[in-house]
Amino acid sequence: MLKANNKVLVTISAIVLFFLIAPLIMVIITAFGTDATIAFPIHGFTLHWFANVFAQPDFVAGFKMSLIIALAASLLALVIGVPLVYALTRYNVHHQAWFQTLFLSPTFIPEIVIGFALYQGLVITVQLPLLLTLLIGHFLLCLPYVVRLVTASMVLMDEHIEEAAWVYGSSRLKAFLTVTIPNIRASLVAAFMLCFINSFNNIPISLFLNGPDLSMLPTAILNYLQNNYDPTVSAISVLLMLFTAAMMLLVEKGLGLKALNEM
Amino acid sequence: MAELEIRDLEMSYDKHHQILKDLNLQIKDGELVSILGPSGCGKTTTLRIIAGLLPQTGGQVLVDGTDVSKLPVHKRQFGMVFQSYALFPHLTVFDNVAFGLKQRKVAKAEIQKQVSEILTITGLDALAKRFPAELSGGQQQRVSLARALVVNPRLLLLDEPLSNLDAKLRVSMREEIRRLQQRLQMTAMFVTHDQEECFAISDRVAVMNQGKIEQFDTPQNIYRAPKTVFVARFIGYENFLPVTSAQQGQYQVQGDTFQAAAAVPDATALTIRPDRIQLVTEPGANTVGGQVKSSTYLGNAYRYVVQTALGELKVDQVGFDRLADQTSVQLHLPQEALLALQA
Amino acid sequence: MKNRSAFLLLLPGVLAICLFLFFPLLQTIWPTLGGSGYSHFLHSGYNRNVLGRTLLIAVITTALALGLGLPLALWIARQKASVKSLLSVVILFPILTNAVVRNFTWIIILGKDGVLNKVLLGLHLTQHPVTLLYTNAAIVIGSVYLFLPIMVTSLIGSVDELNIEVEEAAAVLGAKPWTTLTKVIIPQLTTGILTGSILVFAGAMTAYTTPQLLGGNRHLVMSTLIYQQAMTLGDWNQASVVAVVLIIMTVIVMGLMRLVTRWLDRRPANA
Repeated sequence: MLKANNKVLVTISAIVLFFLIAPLIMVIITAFGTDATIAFPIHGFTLHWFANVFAQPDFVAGFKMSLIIALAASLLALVIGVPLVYALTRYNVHHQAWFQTLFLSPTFIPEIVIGFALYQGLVITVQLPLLLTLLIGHFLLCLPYVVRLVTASMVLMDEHIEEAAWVYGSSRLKAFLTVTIPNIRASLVAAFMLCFINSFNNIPISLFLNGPDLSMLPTAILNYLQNNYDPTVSAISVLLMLFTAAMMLLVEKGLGLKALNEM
Repeated sequence: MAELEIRDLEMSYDKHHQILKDLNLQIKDGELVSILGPSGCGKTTTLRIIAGLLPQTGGQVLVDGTDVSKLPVHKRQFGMVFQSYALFPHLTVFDNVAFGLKQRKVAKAEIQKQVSEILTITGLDALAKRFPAELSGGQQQRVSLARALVVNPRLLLLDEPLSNLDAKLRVSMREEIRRLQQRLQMTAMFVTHDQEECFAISDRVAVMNQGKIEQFDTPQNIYRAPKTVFVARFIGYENFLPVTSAQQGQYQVQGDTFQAAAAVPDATALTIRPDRIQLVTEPGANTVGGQVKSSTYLGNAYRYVVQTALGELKVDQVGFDRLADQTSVQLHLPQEALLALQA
Repeated sequence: MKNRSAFLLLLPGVLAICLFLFFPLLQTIWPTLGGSGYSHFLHSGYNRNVLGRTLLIAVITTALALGLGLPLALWIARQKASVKSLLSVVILFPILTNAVVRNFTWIIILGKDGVLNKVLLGLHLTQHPVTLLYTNAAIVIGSVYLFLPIMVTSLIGSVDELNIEVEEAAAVLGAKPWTTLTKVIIPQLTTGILTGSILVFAGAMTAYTTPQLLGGNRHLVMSTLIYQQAMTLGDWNQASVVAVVLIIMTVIVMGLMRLVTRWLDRRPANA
């Protein structure tokens, strides 16, 4: 029998976990060093690099823009995604599997290709504004998350609950708002969070949709890294990790640890 | 085939909860012994320790006199039938049954021969190429049994193997298990919470409660003469009279004196089966008066609940007309049917 | 009536996908058809190198992620609930952390003055700093680091579905731990292994950030080649060709994997 306390298994697992965790901890440490370039182990202790993060206009503007785009794209994905999931799971739609594939299709196209195609097809050919195209790109990134998570919880939810609401006098819309939504609340929140984080972190889609006044945080860091090798990047890495941790904590507080594990 | 001896077996998951306490048990060669008890009594734990799936915290498991406690599961050469059958979902019936022989590095031709043989014995030859998911519960159970038998195990362990089957199948499968066990002369240990199942199949039964064996005897003796209150209750006795003092076969129950079948110095209760209680007209020895509280028609008899000075007693009477409620009756508890029980 | 409601609910989504995904994609693919773009791409040894490198990196990354992820997933899945939840969060955290951050850690480790070179020099295993960064190996390491958590997550789901009694049955029948792993556990995990492998392979094949940061300009892969062709060289047609080739590769890989899954599912064991 292969037990969880099998020595070989424990040893490999410990090494792999170390491989996963140690680099992140190391980055955190390098953010506090006084050397002008990144060094590990560090010498001295300073918070200067954190201050320097906020002194970079690209980072500050990029953070704001990333936040706005991530929020807007996630909401848009929910507004368009939830109705279509409802249609696919509660109506007898022909070619249901075909529609499912259609709405998950953004995941089959490499993200870099989506960014490139949007730039070529929408910005250059149709002269769509860059900002709008960026939002569209991030919406495409988000939609599959909504479709997948919300479909799963709609399928799990007992259909008879809605039927009961109709029997007791709710219209279809009212039943959806007062009965269905509260019952799939957890998946809506999880989908939103997942959309938000992935949009916020995304690089390949944003890459082509950069402009002089339009920079996202990850691409701004990428550009900074091309020219500099100082602990400012470590500092912003720490801030981004705190950001991720805060997001996870939010989900955990709101929906419990179980929701986190299902994300 | 082998003899099994369990010596002072102890098991605890933490310091406060002891699951098994000083368990002792011997199984003779070719014998089928059942462990009977309610869920949580430690019977499955005992079986898993014997199999080597759980390490005990104390005591020994001896097979033919040698301690196997330190031997890992895969070297013990036992067979086991699991409650969930635990068939390998990715292997056909044939490969499932052949699995143990392959581990023993048996030659291919020999595997072919032995597996075919056991599949014939268990009536599975037509299903050899099927996968477990394509079989009914009863068929899966047969495969599980064939897989355990084919390796000619030193000890066959069965962990509630019938609990997932419907009632009819349960009866025929238990007869099948008994038939195969006797035909192949296997030493076997059977764990169950079903009293009827266990009595039907076993040479001897160990009734277990809270980590201890309360009684270890043949089914007949356990049924006829349960030793403790728990055993009596578990196998269906319903009338219990609390004993305040016991002396040489004389028992005090709330001031009345009763004579029971045997002298049990530390008896705490007396019991009697409802159909052994007799209705008599006159008060006398081993007799108590009461009033009929309610009656139920059972088909072959009436079941009366009689309120007596000693508490409620259940009485079954054949062939009488139904006694009306509130009728005063005298109940005679014959000495040979009245059993004294330990705590 | 009912159909009309369904139609109205589906319409925005269908329109969005068609207008914002398929239309731009067609705009990209259409001009490349009929021209000499594809033959030009395939005739260039340099491009064939990039294509080969992309595939090789994806294959090695997937194999390593599987090899490292399987033991970890088995171990995590078999912990008691509280420990398991905690470890799952530890695995989830990197997935949700920005890829720039995760790749950046390996710049620090693999760089010329990096942590690994310091260790190697300190142990006198080498006299001069070894070139670790901006190599194919660096891309592989970064990709494994990036995608390992995804592999582990999909494997844990699969391990959770296993009936532990099946492994106990194997042990009682005489199977050693290693035999139980290879003959009983892994065959039951095919679905999880395939799902994880598809995700990792597709991810590693199309990733941009990792090859950009850890591969540098001399170790291009398909995704970095697209960017270079379009933004640095201004050859939009050739960039489109590369993009189409990358899409085709992804589709072929996904298709192959799905075929294998279907072939495995013919076996009714998973029913």
